Amino acid sequence: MNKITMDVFYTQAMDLIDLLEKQEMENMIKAAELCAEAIKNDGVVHIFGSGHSVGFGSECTGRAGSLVPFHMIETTDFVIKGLTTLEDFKNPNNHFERRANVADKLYDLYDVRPQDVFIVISNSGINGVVIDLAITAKAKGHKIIIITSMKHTLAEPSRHPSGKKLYELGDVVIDNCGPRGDALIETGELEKICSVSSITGIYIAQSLTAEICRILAEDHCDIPLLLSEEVSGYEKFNADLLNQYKGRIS
Amino acid sequence: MNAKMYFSQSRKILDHATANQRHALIAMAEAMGDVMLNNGLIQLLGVGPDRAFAMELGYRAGGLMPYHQMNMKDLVLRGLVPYDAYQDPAFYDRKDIGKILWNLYRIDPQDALLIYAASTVRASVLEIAKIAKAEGRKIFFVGSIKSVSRTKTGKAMIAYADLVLDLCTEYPDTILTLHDNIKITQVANVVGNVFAQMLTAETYRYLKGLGKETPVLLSANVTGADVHNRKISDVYLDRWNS
Repeated sequence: MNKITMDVFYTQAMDLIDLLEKQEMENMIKAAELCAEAIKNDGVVHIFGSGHSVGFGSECTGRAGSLVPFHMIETTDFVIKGLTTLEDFKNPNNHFERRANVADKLYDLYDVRPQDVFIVISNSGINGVVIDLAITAKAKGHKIIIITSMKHTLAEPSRHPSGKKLYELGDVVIDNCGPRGDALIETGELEKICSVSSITGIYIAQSLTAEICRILAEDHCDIPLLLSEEVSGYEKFNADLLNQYKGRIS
Repeated sequence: MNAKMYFSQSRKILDHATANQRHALIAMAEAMGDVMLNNGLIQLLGVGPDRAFAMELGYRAGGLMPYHQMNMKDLVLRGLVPYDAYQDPAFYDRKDIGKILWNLYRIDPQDALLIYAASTVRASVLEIAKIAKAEGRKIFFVGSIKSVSRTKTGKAMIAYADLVLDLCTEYPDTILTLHDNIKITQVANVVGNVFAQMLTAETYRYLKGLGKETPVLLSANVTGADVHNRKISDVYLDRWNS
């Protein structure tokens, strides 16, 4: 076992990022093609992850340089929209993200149109809510992009009554290349430390944005990007763009 | 312009930031370890996309236990603020919100505060720093110094902080050029999340070196993890999840 230092983490994490680029670039481009096609057809990309996977949606949305037709779905919407209580949502003896048969209700909360695409993120790919939403979206005819750790998901049993894992529902599956349990560094004890899926998630999120923009530009389509304050007329441009997708992205 | 360029350009930024902030990373990791040794929690705060750093340290697989995430959304979930008000783009600029959020949680005297703001310190966030400072707490700040220094709130934040970690990113932090002056793909949170994990490694090293407990969480999605995680989180019951 190595001595645990930040240098050990940095070296191992960068090796993993190199692997992600080498192994998954083709899948990231395929996923971007699905998203670009939806955007060309006035569609929206719905992004759903629970737990720390919420960070993926957050990374894609709401800043200068972000694409506007991205909609973040969060499990807390169940509470905010009155579908359950906060006490039930936080019940430590019945983890919300593990439950099945609730995502139908989540899907129905939003303005989802036939041309829309779904990105569902779960490092383990075994929990009820994410699998449920993917099943629902697939049954409604949407294209599904899955981001998961294949090493993790193949090592653990599904918690969904169907026995399915999330990756089985994807039109495109992006393996985040992370280890089982997410943590990277051996400590010599039961626990490993320093997780990587949020870091690989940011790389995947930013790669999708880059490739979607590239495809739209090459096809001479409008690119619905939030502009920064350095660009003349940015306020009106951004306001008009947000208005175009009003009710579909928040 | 393509995704491969994002990988190569972000690596250069990461290599620079991690080398440049080497001493600051170790200093902050050890100071956080000292808070933990005193049975303190690190209160983690970031708003909007800046929540990334708090999520990377708080109740995270492979992470240390003594953290609590402060989350503006709790104000909505606990019925203190209407959802419509929360969705107002200027919500985070309300000073009163900072105080309400601070008072929402159980924050013990030995707890410290860590604020992450990649490029802009919002008024509600600064208000929380001000309260923590007035209470004599240790304050850690992580952000792009060049970016946050553009505004008065950013300068005040840096002045409040006992220790600062600089992401070393530009303003804005978009690194690929689509055409003309249109830039896309942000990099600050890549640096932020890598820094968060490096802090975890160095705090772990520091505590182990002193022969102290290092309560590390397992992924909740590994068989048997619930028992382990419950055991180490119960030590901080009603604090980590307040």
